[in-house]
Amino acid sequence: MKRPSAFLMTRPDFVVRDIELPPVPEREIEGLIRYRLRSLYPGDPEETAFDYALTRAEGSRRRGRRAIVFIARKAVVDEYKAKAGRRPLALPFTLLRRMALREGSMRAWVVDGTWAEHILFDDGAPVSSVVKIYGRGEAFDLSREDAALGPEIAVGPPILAASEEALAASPLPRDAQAMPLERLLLGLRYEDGIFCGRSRAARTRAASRIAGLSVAALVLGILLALKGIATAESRADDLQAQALALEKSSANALSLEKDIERLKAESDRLAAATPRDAYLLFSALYRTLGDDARIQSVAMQDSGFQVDATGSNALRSMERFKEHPEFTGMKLAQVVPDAKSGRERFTFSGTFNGR
Amino acid sequence: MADKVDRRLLYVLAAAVGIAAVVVAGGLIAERLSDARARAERYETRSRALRKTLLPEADLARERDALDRRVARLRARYYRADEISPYAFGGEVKKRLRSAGMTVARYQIMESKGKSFLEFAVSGRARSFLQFLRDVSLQGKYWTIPSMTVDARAGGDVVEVVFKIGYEVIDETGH
Repeated sequence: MKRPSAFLMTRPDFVVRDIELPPVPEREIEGLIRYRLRSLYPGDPEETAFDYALTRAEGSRRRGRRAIVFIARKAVVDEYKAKAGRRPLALPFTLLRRMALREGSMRAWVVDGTWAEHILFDDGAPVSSVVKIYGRGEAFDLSREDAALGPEIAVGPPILAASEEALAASPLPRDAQAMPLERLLLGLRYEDGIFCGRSRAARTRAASRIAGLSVAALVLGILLALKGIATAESRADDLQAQALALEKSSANALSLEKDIERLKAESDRLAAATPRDAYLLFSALYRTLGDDARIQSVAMQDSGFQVDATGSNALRSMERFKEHPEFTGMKLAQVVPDAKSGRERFTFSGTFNGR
Repeated sequence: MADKVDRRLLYVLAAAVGIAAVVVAGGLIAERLSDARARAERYETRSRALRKTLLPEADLARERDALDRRVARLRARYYRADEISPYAFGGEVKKRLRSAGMTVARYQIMESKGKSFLEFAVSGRARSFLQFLRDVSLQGKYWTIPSMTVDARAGGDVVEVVFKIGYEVIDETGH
């Protein structure tokens, strides 16, 4: 036999109450029920565990908002939890609820050995619950139990949810529908279980919140990534513009450098082509020979020249020419001293580089 | 039961499509981000390299302008080919010699290596000839004296001078 996915608790261990809820936010329902617990259950509230399920479909205006409250001693619930392990805990209502929401109006017997519960659903919401307990030697009999319910409750064909073994052992009336309990337990979702620590609504809210937060985080992440892309692309564009400006500047600088080189070459060429200045030659000759010298003749050809002159000391004059930076290749050709005057007649030649 | 399985398959499919979309979007975002960063790095490196080698444009422009002015000044000292003729030049030299107080004994126009020169034989006071040479040196255009003989042996302050004088011409190309 397959192990059931949900753990069916003994219905008589629980008190189930159908209560009307005032218009309060869903998050306050648990507190409201806890506040009303003393009026719903005779035990010590500190020692009492409860869970609830909302029974009105969202948006329905047919009747006020209601909740089915499951109440038991805390110790009993803890014992079931220990036995169930990770399996969801179930009661007949939790097993039938989804089917009732689909079917609308239906009634069903859930039978589990020593007890049975009949639940009548109208428009998906439970309107009647009858619990039977069987002692030793007693057994569930559908025809008898249905007859005991009375015509106002036993409306329409029933669904009988019992173990496959029990269903096989007892033949059903023609209009009854058999539902193996194992299949119902196997099909129960974890979130449809009770006493799971949080109510289904809270779990749904949490799941919605997580889903919403995940979507928000995803959207935020995408927006941040897009912002990052925009920033990176903007930076790349700025750097590209900067690089282009620098390239343009560099090209301008290169062009300027070429202009400068060309102009320097032309300037040097023009400066080198400057004709020699005869006036500068004569000025330099007079300054270098000194006041006591007298030029007799000068022959000049391009930069070369030859001078006949008289003076008191030809050698001293030549020393001065040697120190002058613009005279080069100076040669003293001949010196003829004049005994009468004490002066010397001399001839010298050289090159003048002044321009 | 079949509905449940179908719904689950639908959820799995939706989740798979969602995850695939997120992965594709993530990949595209990462690719664009990586491209933008690579582009930024490339241009940053390029800019850095350019900045290292870049010379100050303003300084270069100033240097270029100064050289331009200097070249223009130097070229202005040359005659343009259509600006003067040997005859006009000879007249100008003669005028300046007389103005300096020199006596022109003779002069002639000569051609040498495609250039025109004038050869003058003049006499006068040494100071007057120096005055003439100073005029030649200080006037705006280049006058060239390739050869000259000065003889002061006659005595006193008188010199006899024979010299060649010409002028420098420049064409449009600066030669």
